Amino acid sequence: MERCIPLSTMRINLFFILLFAVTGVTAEGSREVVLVVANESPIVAVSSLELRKLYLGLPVALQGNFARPLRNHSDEQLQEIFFQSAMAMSEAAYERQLLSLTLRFGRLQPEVRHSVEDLKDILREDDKAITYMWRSDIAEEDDLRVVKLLWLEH
Amino acid sequence: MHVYRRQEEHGTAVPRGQSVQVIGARLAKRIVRLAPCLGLLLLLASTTARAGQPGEGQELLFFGSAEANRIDPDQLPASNDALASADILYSLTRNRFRLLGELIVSTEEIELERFQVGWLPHETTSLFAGRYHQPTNYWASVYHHGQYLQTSITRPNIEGWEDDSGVLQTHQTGLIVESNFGLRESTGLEIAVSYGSGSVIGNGVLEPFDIFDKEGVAGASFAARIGFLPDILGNNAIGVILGRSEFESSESQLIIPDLADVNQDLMGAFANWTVGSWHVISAAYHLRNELDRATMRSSDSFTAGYVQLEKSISDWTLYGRWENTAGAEESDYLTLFPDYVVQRSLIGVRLDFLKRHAVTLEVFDAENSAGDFRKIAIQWSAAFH
Repeated sequence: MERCIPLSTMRINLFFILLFAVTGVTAEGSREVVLVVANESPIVAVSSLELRKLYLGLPVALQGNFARPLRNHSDEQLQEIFFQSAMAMSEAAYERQLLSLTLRFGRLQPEVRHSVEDLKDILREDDKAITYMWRSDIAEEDDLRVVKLLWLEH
Repeated sequence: MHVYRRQEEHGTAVPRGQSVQVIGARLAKRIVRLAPCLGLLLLLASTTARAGQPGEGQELLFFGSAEANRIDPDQLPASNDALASADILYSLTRNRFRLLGELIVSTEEIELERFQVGWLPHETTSLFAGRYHQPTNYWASVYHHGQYLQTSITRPNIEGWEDDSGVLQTHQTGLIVESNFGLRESTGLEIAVSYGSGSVIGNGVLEPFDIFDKEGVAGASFAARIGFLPDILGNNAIGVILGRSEFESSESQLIIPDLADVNQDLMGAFANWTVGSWHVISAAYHLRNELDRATMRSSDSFTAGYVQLEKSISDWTLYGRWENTAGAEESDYLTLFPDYVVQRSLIGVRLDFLKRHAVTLEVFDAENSAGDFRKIAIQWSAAFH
């Protein structure tokens, strides 16, 4: 006889599945922010200093290729974590520094995208493109890969 | 009784009726002169889409500000006024080449402040030719005309623009190399060296060399700045400044009628440091001036400096600045600039709101050759990208 799952249990399971999907919780229960490129990308490693240079508008060659950094504005919490963990400053301080660098040297600012799907499309189209996301956002994507773990929830 | 146009700390005010005509004529002349450069910028901006190659593209920034101020009327002719300005910056980067232009449009003037074409041989090195801000002026090198980025409404007077009672050359036309070198771990050195035109001494003001003015004659100027960066990608810096400039005296200069030229040697030091919610920016300059006159040669020296301390509390920033000049009374060179403010103490408060908007209230007490005066100003500033 087939065992029936109570409706209340199904609701609870559905709630947690949705919660994990929304918040980027991994199978182990920790959320992660990762640096992502396309599978075909020649970029295989990024140091912390290179990452800071990239997001401050400096042209940085990674494994001989000039990378194209993209800012992920799809989630406020993700941004906050990225600026604190990767750039070692608040978003406000980062914005101010970008303005200053453009004013002083004419330096280019990283492109901003507000949709995760847009970012994924750009990564697929441009193998030099690089961005940060919740790991859960690429869990189902076979054509994207992680090059660096930026933050792990403790 | 004349109504005077914006004077701020200037002692030489211009009657409003006359100033409107004069400024109108100047603006028309400038627009004609700027037309080729502006045309090139507009052409590039309209035909160049964001480049597909990483490290290539263009940027357009706007800095806007509006200010109302009141100066103690008992000390100087009435000078309460409002001032609005827009600073427009455009840069284009292609194949290691970069073009950069900065245009100021205000109720006072329209001027192409910077127009540089350069080569980027390395990610942190650039070689530019054109008109730029001389690296010996630390404040100008950090904030340029981006009012929103500087906390205070006013800039220290020793860092003042040539047309705003400044006594140091701030604009130079020539060549400039800027580079950052990594040292141990993440520390680094920031170096900027330039060589180009000097300025012309006008009547009460320095006049930067104008490439479009065929009658303009200027000497040469050398400038260098070396700074230590505890974090090569950060803003904190401490360093030294060296410079030598030759200023020719123009026919309009009447304060020392027999003056032919001035040779000026400059040594200085600066610090720009943020620790937590505290920020300090400070610089000191020692200048030695040799005045070559028809009948004699004379020399003098003076030292000028400032310290600005800022404390951020959430979106609020409280700040104060003290600036002073030692040896001003004995300096023949400074007599050429009667509006130069020899000392000033100020306090202010700034509130940042929305995205990249700020409103600032500032009060100061100052002294120039005309005497003591006080000023209160309120300003809105913003940046748009």
